[in-house]
This record gives sequence, structure tokens and C-alpha cells, in this order.
Amino acid sequence: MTLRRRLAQQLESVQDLELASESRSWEGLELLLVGKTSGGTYLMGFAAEMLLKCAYFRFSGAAPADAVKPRLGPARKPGQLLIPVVPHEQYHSPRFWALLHLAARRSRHAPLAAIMEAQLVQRMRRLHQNWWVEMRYRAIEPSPLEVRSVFDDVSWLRANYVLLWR
Amino acid sequence: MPLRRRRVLARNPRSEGLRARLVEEWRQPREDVPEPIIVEESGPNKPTHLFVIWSDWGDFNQQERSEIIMDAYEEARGSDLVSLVTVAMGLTPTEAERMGIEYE
Repeated sequence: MTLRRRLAQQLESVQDLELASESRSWEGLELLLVGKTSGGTYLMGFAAEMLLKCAYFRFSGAAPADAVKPRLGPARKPGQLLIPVVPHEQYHSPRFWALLHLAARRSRHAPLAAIMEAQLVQRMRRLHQNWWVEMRYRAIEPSPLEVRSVFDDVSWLRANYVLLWR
Repeated sequence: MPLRRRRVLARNPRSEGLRARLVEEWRQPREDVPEPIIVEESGPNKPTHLFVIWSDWGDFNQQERSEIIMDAYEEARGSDLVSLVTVAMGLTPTEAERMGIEYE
């Protein structure tokens, strides 16, 4: 059976995304360490995108084995209501997921600690400036500062992931 | 010079037909047709999960199905109830059977 067929047999779950995020993050780091900064930052950005989605879904009550895709449509609606000026960019935008998560927490009277909220906003805004899903079609190499920023912001997110949704 | 607006097709052109059919079904459920089957899972202080079992989903991916269900639900039930939905899953009868979705 081909890889595509094996993957298509089952919808990806929250836990799949969490594990994939961990893999993409380490693979991204490996690439960065050998100077392949374009591919490295691209993978690291995906790692962040997946964690942000999972944090939102976990906070919304998703269990590890729950499928992810049927939760995308329901996420779009509060997005339109709570953060109407922030596009989800086909559900890839780190800024969208971070702001949606914060807005959802506030609307359910469970805001994050102010310092955590400020860090998340600042870091995901910066990540949004330095990472874009459309990067895959571009041959531009990111600058050392941009690479460092992506690494720092994704590392921060990985370190604080559980605190975001608990 | 005439000014024309560009017509933007947001997604699969069939999606509008499915959305309208779902709105109709939510507003006036019909017992004389076998599909779509709408399964709502909800309770006090619990989020709503929506499953729509329908052979017509065929060539739509899960993301599109989820969006169509949410658009229809919002139109039929209003934006207050839509905020309670955390899962909107479209399944063909075969997929529903494989996933063990049971309903009354």
C-alpha cells in the first residue's frame, strides 16, 4: 500500500498533530544546523502552526484521539466573530490561531495570565512576519536574524504549549 | 468604460447546493428521503457535535464538508448556537459505518 493510501485511511487526530509537530520541529532544527535555513524555518513554522491548532482544540475540549479536520469549520465561525480582521490563510496562519485562542479563552472567562498572553501575541505576530505557508514556492533564503527569530518563537511555543490549553 | 465586478467562486461550485439542502433539512426535516442524515450530539454545558451522513459528500474533502455544515447550521439555527459547535463532520454512509457513528 502506498504512503498516500496509508495516510488517507484515517483522519489525522489532535495527537497526530502533536507528534508531527515534534517531528517537524526536530527535522527543522537538523536542517538549520547544517545551514539549510529555508527548509529548516519552513518546517519549524509548521511545527508552531500545529501546536497552535492543537492548543485551541484542546482548550475547546478535544481529546487526543479526536479528528482535526472536522474542527476547522467550527473554528472559522468564532474567528469571523471574535477576530474578523485576521484571515486564517487556509487555516495556516499562526497569528490567526494565537489570537483565536486568546479570544476564545477570554470569551469563556478563562484568560491566560497577562504575561503569557503578551508573550504569545508578540511571538506569534513575529512568527507570522517570518513564516508563511506560501514560502514553499519561493527560493529566498531567510536572513540569520529571521532564522533566529523563528527558532526562538517556535521553541518558546513548544516550551509553553501545555500551559496554553490547561 | 463599463465597470464590472469579478465573480469569485469561493469553493467547489456544488457546495452552495449542498449548503442550501442542509439548511432546508435543518429547518424542515424530511422523513421521506433517506439522506442527508443529521446527527446532533449535545447536552447541557456540553459543546455540540454535528455529523452529517450523506452520499453526496463524495468529492469534497473533510475541511470543505466541515465548512459547508457550519455555514448551513449558522443560517438555519443562528450565530448563538453556532458558537457551541466544536465538531462538524461530514461522512459518507461507508465512512460513518467505518467510524462507528451510531444514531437513533
